[in-house]
Amino acid sequence: MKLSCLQENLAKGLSIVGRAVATRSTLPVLSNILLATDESRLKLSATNLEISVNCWVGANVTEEGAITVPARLLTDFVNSLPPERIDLSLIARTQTLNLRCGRYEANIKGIDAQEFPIILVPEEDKASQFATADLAKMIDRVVFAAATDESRPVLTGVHTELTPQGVTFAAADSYRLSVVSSPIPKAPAERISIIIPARALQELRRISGEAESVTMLVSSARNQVFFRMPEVELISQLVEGTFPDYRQIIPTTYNTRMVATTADLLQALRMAAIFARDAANIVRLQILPNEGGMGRLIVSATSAEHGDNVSELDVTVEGQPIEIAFNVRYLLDALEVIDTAQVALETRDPTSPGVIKPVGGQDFVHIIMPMHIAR
Amino acid sequence: MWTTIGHEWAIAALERAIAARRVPHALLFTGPAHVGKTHLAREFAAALQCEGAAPPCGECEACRRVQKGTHPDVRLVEPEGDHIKIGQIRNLQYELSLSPVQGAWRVCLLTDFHTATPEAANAFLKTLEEPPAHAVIILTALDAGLLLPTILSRCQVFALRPVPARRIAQALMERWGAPEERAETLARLSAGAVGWAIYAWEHPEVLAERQERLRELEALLTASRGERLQAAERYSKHPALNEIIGLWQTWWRDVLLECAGCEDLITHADHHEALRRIARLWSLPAAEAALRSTENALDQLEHNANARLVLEVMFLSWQPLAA
Amino acid sequence: MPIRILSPEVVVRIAAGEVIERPASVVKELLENAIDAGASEIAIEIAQGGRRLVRVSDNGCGIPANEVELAFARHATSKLRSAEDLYRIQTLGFRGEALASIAAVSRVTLSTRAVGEEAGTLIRLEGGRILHREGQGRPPGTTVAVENLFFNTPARLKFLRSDTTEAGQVARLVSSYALIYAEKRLSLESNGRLVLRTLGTGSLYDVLVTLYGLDIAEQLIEIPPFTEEGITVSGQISAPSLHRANRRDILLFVNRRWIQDTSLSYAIGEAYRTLLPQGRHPLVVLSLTLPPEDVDVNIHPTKQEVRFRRQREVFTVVQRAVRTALMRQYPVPVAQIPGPSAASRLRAGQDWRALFAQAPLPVNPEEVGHRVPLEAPLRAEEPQPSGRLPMLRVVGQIAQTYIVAEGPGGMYLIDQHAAHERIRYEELRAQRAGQGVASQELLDPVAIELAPQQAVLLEANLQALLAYGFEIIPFGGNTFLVKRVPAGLAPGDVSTALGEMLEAALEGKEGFSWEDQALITLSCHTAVRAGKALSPEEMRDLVRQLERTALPHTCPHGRPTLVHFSQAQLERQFDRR
Repeated sequence: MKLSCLQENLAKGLSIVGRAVATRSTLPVLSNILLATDESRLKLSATNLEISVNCWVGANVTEEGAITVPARLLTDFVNSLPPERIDLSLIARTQTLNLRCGRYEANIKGIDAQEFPIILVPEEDKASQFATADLAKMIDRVVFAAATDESRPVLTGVHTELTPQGVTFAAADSYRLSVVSSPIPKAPAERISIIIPARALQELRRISGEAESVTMLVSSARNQVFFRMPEVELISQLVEGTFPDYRQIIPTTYNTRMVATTADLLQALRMAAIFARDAANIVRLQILPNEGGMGRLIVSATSAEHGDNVSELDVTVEGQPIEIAFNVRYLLDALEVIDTAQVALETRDPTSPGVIKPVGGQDFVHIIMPMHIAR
Repeated sequence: MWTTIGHEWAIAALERAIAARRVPHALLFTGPAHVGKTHLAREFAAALQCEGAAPPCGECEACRRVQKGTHPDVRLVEPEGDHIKIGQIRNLQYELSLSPVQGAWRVCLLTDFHTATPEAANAFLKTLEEPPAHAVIILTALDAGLLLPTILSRCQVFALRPVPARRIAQALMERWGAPEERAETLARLSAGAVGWAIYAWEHPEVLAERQERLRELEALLTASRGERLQAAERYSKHPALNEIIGLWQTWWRDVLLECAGCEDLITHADHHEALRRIARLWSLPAAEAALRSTENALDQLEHNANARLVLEVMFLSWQPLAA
Repeated sequence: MPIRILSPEVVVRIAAGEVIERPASVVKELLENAIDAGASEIAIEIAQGGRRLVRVSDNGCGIPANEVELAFARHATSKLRSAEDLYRIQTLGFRGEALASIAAVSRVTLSTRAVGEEAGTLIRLEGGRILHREGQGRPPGTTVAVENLFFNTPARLKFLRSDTTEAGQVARLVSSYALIYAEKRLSLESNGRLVLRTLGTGSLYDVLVTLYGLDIAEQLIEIPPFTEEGITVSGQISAPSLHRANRRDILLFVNRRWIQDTSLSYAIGEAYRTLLPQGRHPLVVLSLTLPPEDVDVNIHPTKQEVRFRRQREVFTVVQRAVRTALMRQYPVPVAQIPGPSAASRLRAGQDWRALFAQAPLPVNPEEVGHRVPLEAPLRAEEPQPSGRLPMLRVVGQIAQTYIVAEGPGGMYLIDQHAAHERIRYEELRAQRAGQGVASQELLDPVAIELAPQQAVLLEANLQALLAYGFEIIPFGGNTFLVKRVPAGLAPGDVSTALGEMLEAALEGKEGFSWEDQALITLSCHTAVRAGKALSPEEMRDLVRQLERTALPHTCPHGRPTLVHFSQAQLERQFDRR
């Protein structure tokens, strides 16, 4: 293997694949990055057996070949080089990669490329296409709700359903649920339902920044999902299992519906969060209807040790007065991804889920289970 | 081609399961140490991933990777320190929930599962109850009785027995080119533990050390009281004390057999002369007492008795032999 | 069944056997006599565990020559006609009775000179009969030598344990008296070797240093006299870093009399609740003073057990005194680093330990939980530790389990899980006492399946668990649906946490309460785990919260939350001095 490329391009490519490198793996080759010539480009690959990322960098290839080298070492070295041309060559006998850039030179010992897991490429027939900006927004609205506790692996994933009408992402931990739907530029002909690890979507969000659109392919064995962008590919294993039937959890009726200005509500909750910190993050919402559909919302939090905080907001209220308590962190997580000026909260009673929806925006529903004070 | 030595019945059953596409989600291989549990388990994993015509072909990329331990869909979990711990199980559970990367199965091989902490074993129950569709879980353990009954009931159990000495000797000669006499000796000494026989063939110092230990034992029998006490002190600090006593135990067993006139059953055939000489001087009860003394010593060491005292008692109990 | 009439001599022996069970009983009676005689110095010698010889010499007031025989007279011997009489003798226990009992089962030589008399007296008895009497010159005081104990009651002799065990009992007894009579100089010799000697300074602490060594004495907390309800409690108790495998080192004195009272020991153990690891016990020397009419000492011939007329008050006052002292101050467990200098210095010349090492004695160094190196200057160069933590600066995390912090006194290692458990425990307790425990409704109820025994217990306690944030509904058979969990409890941990609580309830250990168990279980399961990487911000937060807790030094299970390496220790380790 012999090639040359620009330092900026290589550094950028390494940063794209870098997060997929396994940090603590039993297979040493997984902490390496695979460098392989691919016609007139250099292909960089990394995998942790859950997420794999490939990235192509423009290069001047004079001799074909491949090698894997330790990710950290390579990345740190390349990042510290000047923005000039880098010459890479493989010393096959010792499996050592020689890098030369201006007056700097390094030899990095590698592991045979044969050791690197092979990630198969699927056929193209079940492709769907997303506009990157929309996809990013949808990912933001669901991934935070996915469980971080791995006791129920399906909940660490995002349920993804593709139909000819579009896509629906859903994620839930044991206390909240986020569901977002949207039509997409190109949808598959038949229904596909898979669970994608939340980590994979987060990583996709991070590396898809420059692409205009993202193509998604589900391999027919339903083993893997591929996200293809110009020069970049992300492949993720799927989480196997049955995702809870979340549609039946979403309430269809309410006794109280409140609409507030998103920014005001956010501010009141951020203040309450400071006081709720030592009290299991509990914040109380008192929704009090006045005449003519108007009303007040009283947001309060009490810290046994440090005092309390009360904010009052003018809101519109439909239905019964109610007092309901939530984990303020969960409310903030949801409100922070809502970009409409107004937000609605609907609920039936203090033990029923609170339903949060943007007013007049995308198809997004977020559900939070209430809290209580046991006496 | 299966390379496992012995256990033909188990191999046949596993082949049938693969051929009939009825691979159990959970298997348990039990049997004494070095009998070939892990080897068979790994070979079965290779057979599941094999891309060749007669799995496990041993030639294809997948087989090669499984044998080298670098197959992305075959995960080996060994005791961390003395135990398989709950953290290891938690990581594994998440991995198992993901679809396989290359093959059709995600295989995880947990060796010595009897060392799993109760928390780890209990946590793993959930996975055994509802394994993901693509998962194959292989456990190995010394004895089925050491596992929770709830774990046991969810596994297909293959109880591997010691491999016949002839089979081991034959394999040593055919595959490793060991000379017949050496192969026979190793096979006899291995007591059916294939792994040990191979290791001892590849590491001649194992046999050399055995010779040395047996020579020392013989020397002890003609040693004075004071020398025996010195020996006790010396041995009490030996890191592999239990193994040494274990070896001596097999020696006393041979003496007992020799006294009883059952020459054909003895293990240390290469020391036949010495055995015969001692047997002539000793009575059957004396040999039995010596055998018991090693048994007691191992038992006391198990219970954390002072090694030096244990050894002193044992050494002094052995009838002195006129030089 | 009518009791067969026994010859008086035999009855005396039986009666003596009741009072004099073993050499330690002889020592006890003679020691009490000496104390009653106003001695300021008492020397005790034993040989072969006291079986061959017990000798007690004092410098007390002595016995006047014409009363010497009276000392051995058994006042009630002549009345010994019925079983009731026999019983009454045992329960009375006035002076002289004991000496008579001892004399009945041994060879006794008594030599005494009363203050103000010219000459002393020597008298020798065997089996209660006077063999010899003569005048003798000697300083004022009394020496009683008891030889060949139980020579005429072989059955009793058979009950004696090994010499070392008996010697151990004697040492334990003498230690106890040394503690309570700190103003007297007591010494004990066994087989010619000095076992212990107190200085008679009147300071309990000095006696503790003598008996237990400085390393242990350093970890004791003083209870200054604490009076409530007419009951005064004072003494020394161990910091939670110091604990024992049994209750043998809970030494109790009532009106300067050594007593054994299991329920009072238990009450003290309760005061240490959540501070000690399970199954471990504190080291306690506690003296209670209360009006004599409130204590009944005559319920056992050896006077070792007492009955309190106002038991509940006594327990409350003792618990409060102990708890107050614990809350006020105790040192952070100090890390023990093996060092060449550690063991040698202060122990030199204290060969009493040699005896203790071979006999089951109150001080068995192996039983001690955490120990400090025996460095005398340690005390002076370090700021007096207090219940509150000093301000700590977080340096980093190791093994994703311990937080390294720097404080004014050196380096602190904090166990992140244990520390957070303590924080959560106090938070939850405050919530419980205040507005209530916060709980979180689940999106999807979790089904749990229990063992039949657990299921029955859970079903009976659903209401109690509601107060701790669990809303659980029976779902037929042994299955339950959990609808609501205490805030912060991970859904994956729900069934483990419930299982733990139910198991503890089923075990039904003494003093089990849902309150305690729920708080301990929840604090454990909602605390950050060992093995989790923490950001510097999170670590600072955790340390800051720990500083604010009332008992920052132990987790609710009683494990230490932090270990302290003093500047001096570090310097020694690096041979800087």
